[in-house]
Amino acid sequence: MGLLRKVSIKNKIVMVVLSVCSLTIGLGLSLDFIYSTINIKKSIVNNTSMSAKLTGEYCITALSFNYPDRAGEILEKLNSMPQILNGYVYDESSNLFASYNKAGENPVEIPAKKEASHRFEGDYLHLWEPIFFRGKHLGTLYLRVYTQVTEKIRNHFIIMVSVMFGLLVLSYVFAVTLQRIISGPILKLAQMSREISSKGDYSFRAQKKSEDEVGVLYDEFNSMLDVIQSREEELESKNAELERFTYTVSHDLKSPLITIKGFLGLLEKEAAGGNVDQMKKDISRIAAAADTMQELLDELLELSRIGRLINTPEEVPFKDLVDDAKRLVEGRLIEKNVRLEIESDLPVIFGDRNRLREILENLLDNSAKNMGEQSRPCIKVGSRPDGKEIVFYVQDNGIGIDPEYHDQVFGLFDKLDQSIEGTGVGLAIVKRIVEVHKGRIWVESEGEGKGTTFCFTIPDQRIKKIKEV
Amino acid sequence: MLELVFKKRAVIISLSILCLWSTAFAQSAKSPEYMLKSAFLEKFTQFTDWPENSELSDISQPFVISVIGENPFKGSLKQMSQTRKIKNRKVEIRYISSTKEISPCHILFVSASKKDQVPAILLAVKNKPILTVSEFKGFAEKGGHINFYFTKKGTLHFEINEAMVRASGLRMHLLLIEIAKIVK
Repeated sequence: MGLLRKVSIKNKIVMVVLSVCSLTIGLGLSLDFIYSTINIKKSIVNNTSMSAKLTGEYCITALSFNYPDRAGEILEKLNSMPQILNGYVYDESSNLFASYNKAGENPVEIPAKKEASHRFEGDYLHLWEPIFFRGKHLGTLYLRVYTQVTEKIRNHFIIMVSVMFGLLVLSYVFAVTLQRIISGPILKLAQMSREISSKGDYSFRAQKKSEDEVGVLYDEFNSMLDVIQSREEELESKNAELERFTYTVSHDLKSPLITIKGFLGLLEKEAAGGNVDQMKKDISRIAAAADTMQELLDELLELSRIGRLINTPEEVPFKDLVDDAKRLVEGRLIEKNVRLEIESDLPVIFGDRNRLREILENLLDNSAKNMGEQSRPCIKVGSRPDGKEIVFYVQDNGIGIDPEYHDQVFGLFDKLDQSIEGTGVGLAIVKRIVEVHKGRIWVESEGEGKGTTFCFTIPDQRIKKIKEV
Repeated sequence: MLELVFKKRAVIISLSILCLWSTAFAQSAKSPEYMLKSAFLEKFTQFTDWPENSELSDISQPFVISVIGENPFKGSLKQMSQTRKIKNRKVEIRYISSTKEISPCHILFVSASKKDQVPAILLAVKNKPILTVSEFKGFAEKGGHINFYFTKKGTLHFEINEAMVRASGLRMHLLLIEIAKIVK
């Protein structure tokens, strides 16, 4: 098979078809040839035997009444059959009774036989046919015939070889034409994969034309391309995020550092001037800046942990998560005087309990912080079915978000309103947790002043509805 | 007379080639011509079928050859009847002189001595399955079935009146008719 390694699939199919065809045609025709050869000889013997029987029949009276001349006359009539070279009649005692030799043919010395028999000698057939009348053996007729059997067999062979050649040519034409059905889609796929790898464009999709194994190959190829494409896109966005991350981290860490440096310079002067009160104020500002840095670094650490540290997933009633989160942000809710409404009919979800709680903690905290001038701040937590999945939501009646910024809110350090406290990491953390749970998160808000709804899904087959007690 | 000698020689030659009969028969002192004619009579029966429903079709009864007139066979016919079977039956030879004695028989050999009474004899066997055989010129033309004659070469041959054979109810094999000289 080493030789076949470089042969194209097209030629391989043609080769396979031709091999099968030549094997079957060759075998079939060979059998036919053997059969025909036997048949040709058989039919020659039969025809000769028939002639001999008829001639012998006419010799019956000649033998009975002992008229060799008469037998000779009958044998003379054999000259109407030019292929008969010699014809001899022997009487019942195997003595030569009458003979015929075709003009130009020499008499042959041949043993008389009493029973029917024949023998081929090249192109010549020797045939003995006994002559019977009413059950009595009267004698034997011997014929020597030029049969042209070799030529007949050779002609048959030539015809057979021509037929075989013709059939093979026909098979070749058919194979070359019909192999496209198999090789076409494969060659197309090969061509496409070459193009994709040379251009690096993974947006190509193969167009399937059949439902066979090649069709499956197309489907798998396409889904592989889907995966590659989405991974590439993901990689690109991750890269961009990482760049932004580096930039924002260095930028956001820089500002408290600048604050610290500035106040240190002031502190130096004030130390020289001996202004202790002012020094105390400056020191507290430096400490506040250091705290900000600390908080920033803590949250960044937390964010980086999400993807790596995952607790064993478990079934958690969504209601429990909301209650836990509510307890943790109680202070903020009281501070902002926010009323929290929790829907009664909430399902059980499956995931990392602590992380899922963090989602709600951050979302509640975020909503409470963004209440603006709302006189009756309120947050609703609940779920709604949407097609096959369940969408959880945290809805507030706060300042709202312009649709233009709906995607930005989840970015790291992307605070839309710099006046609001917080690091800008909270929503990024939420997004990461949802994504780790293979869910989606998005914002629904009609604009500024119209409140905000954060929606997310935590897909899992184990999500069940339970009735609140 | 000279002609007769010639004929006899030819018959002897034919006989020697033929080897038809047993050595005892061949060596007997009987006339070779009539030995051959006896043999031919037996051969004729091989190519002729007698109707099966006649009074003569009983297989247990002998096959009857009657010779009317002076017997020319001089015992050779008798010898044939003793050594041969015809149609698987014993052979009986009868020597008769009057037409009244003819029936029943299968073959009637008309001796040359009855040449003059041929019309009467033939009338007696007319439309009966009796094969009439003789050996003088004109027998077949007169209505006899088979007549022996000698060819110019001196070979014994016979002529057949096919129409009369058919009229008699006998069935003669085509091969026999084909080889004979046909008389109408």
